[in-house]
Amino acid sequence: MEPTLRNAPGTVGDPARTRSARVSRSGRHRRPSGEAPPLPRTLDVSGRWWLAAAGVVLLLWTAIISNRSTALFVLSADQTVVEQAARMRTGMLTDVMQTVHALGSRWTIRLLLWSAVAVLLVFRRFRHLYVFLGATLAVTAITSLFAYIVLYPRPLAVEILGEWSGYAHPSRPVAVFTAVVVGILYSLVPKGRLRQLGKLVAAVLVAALSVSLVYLAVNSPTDVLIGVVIGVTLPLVAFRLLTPNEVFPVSYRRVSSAHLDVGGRRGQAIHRALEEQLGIQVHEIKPFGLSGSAGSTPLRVRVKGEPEAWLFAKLYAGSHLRSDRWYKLGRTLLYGRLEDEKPFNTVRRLVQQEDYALRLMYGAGVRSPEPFGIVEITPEREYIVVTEFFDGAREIGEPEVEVDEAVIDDGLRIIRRLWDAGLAHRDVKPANLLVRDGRVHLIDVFFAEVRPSPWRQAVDLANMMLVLACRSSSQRVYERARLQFGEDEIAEAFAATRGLTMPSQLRRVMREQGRDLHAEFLRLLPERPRPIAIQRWSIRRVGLMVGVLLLGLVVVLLLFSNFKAAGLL
Amino acid sequence: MRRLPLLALACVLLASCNPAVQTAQDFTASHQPNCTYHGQMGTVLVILMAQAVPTASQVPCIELLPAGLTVSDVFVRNGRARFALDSDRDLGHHVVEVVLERSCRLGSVTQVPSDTLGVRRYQEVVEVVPGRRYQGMLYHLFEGGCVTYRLDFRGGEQARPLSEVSLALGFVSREALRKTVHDYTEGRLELDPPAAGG
Repeated sequence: MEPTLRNAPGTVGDPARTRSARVSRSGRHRRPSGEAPPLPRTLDVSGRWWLAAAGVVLLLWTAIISNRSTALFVLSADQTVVEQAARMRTGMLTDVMQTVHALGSRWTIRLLLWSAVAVLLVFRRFRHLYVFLGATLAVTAITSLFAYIVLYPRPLAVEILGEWSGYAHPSRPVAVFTAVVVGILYSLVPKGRLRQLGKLVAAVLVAALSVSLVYLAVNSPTDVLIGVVIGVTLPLVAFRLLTPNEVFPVSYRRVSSAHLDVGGRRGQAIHRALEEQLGIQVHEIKPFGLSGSAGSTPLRVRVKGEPEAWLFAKLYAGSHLRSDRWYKLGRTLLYGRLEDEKPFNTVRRLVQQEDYALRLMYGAGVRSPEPFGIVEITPEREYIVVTEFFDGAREIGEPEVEVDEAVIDDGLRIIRRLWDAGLAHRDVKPANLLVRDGRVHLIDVFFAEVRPSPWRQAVDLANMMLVLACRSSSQRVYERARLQFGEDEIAEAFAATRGLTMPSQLRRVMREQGRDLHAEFLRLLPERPRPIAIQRWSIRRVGLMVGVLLLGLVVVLLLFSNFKAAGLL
Repeated sequence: MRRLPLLALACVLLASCNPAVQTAQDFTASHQPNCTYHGQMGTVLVILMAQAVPTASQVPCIELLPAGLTVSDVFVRNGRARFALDSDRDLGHHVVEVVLERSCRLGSVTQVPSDTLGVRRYQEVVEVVPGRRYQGMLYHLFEGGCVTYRLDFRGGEQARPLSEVSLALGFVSREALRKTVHDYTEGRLELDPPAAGG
């Protein structure tokens, strides 16, 4: 049976209209101007307090630098405390303090820093890694800068018992140790009781180090206090603003970085946004089909009412936008400009593309989900594309799905319909082909392209034939394909398709089956086609490769020199 | 109105980043290891160097920096203080490296006259490449410490720049630094602990 155009009468397998009727276009909520977004990047109360403390430090520094009396007052007050501490010195206490003092040594800080970096690399938590390294470098830079500006000697008139280097104010060991500990807490420890406990431990350690430095007369109280303020404020503000837990939660569950947590505040925000913007009553939102998705967070939304109804939704955030950029850059570097590799600039444009592609496919009569629109979660940061949910449909790769001649014909007809409509899906793989009541449905149309090259269309055909052959035989699929496509079209499809042009899931399935279906199809062709090269060389590609290499080198050298200068290497 | 605190903070930050805000006559305004600064003996850096080697009765410093020489590579830690002079002429990068330590290990040295009271001076020629390079050491031994000048003159002048370097570098006594700290803090603070200071 042919996939039907939308204006044709509904047939078995067409999207059930009753589902769309549940999505009301009336009563939609327009977000009032000035209303806070549902997922704001907040500093929280403690963050504001630390920022205020940093402001006080800046004021104090200005007073110290510009006013001699203030400088003398601070020096004298500090001296009183240091002298009091010196009077308490005993042999055993000094030994203890010298041991505690090792917390601030370069080796302790290096060990903590690079261990945390290693863990972040292993868990591929790159955003946390960048913020961690950036905040630590910023703390070392700021302490060095202000040590150079303020020019405070070590405590006077008291014997200094510990190791030190450079000016005393602000205390660099305290600032850097605190920054590293705070960085570890916010990048490695999951939010909740464990992190709260970690904060207590960190506070004890930082306090112990600070007391030891004052006791040993390495630093004055003001030096260590300001060191603590710098060491806490910078990483805390950086982590809270750049890696808010709602958006980038610290978790050790084995999940794809593409899949965002839809619980907590984000879950509530999605719930509210769906109700306000689509006018539906949401009963439940759950992640769905995560294994087949790597570029978004797929969700199944249960709508309140009788009978039970479902919607499919895809959550897109900044992380998906960045992944898309890196993916396209990687493709351009590895293969040249095979097709449209222009990255998206914003999350909004990314979801607009998906919604547009869905509408194109649906309008062209390709059996794809009916789009219900875009829902804004947080402006310019997070959006959801909502579509019809193919209830009861199974992925074509599942053993329960019978791939008979009717299913093969239906799958091939989808490609014919795409060709006729001047479209390419560009991601034909088992996870994107669902079968319900003997009809094939094409989902995940994000990569769809209008007026693609003949090469791209040929690749879609070959991938569809390979997917179908995975569940039947190449001979059978070839014979059925010959009814809808010419030999030259099939030959071109297999000449164009190899390596990267086959989705990784499809390659994996073939590998698991131990079948070289591509070679089988080539043998079936009357004449073996000449492979079409997928490497595209251009001045732009060479320039881009050189540019990326140079940029990488510069970044590595900059990081190396900065860490070396900061004594962290 | 909400931006006012930010603006105030920015002003404070800008002001605090500007060393010119510091009192011009204040010896704490100098970042150089000068022997004298606006009539006072030593600078904060020299005091920090004195703290690095608390036994040292003399601390190296810059008397008068000739044109073409700049201070670089300043590093002070407990037990050791160091700075270097760089030349913008052909003499080289670290023309002389000045190191203050508790003690020095002398090689095959020759005693030479010293300009500073209480300081014994020894010279060692390490390597001479005629017309290209002169490397040598000057050791200054005094009560509680030692200062080494590591000389490395490139070019054809051989050891001739030594006189220029000797004029540029000098010593400030710990006693003078004690007075500076005492005067600056209006008698509230001293450089050394009472027992060590005597």
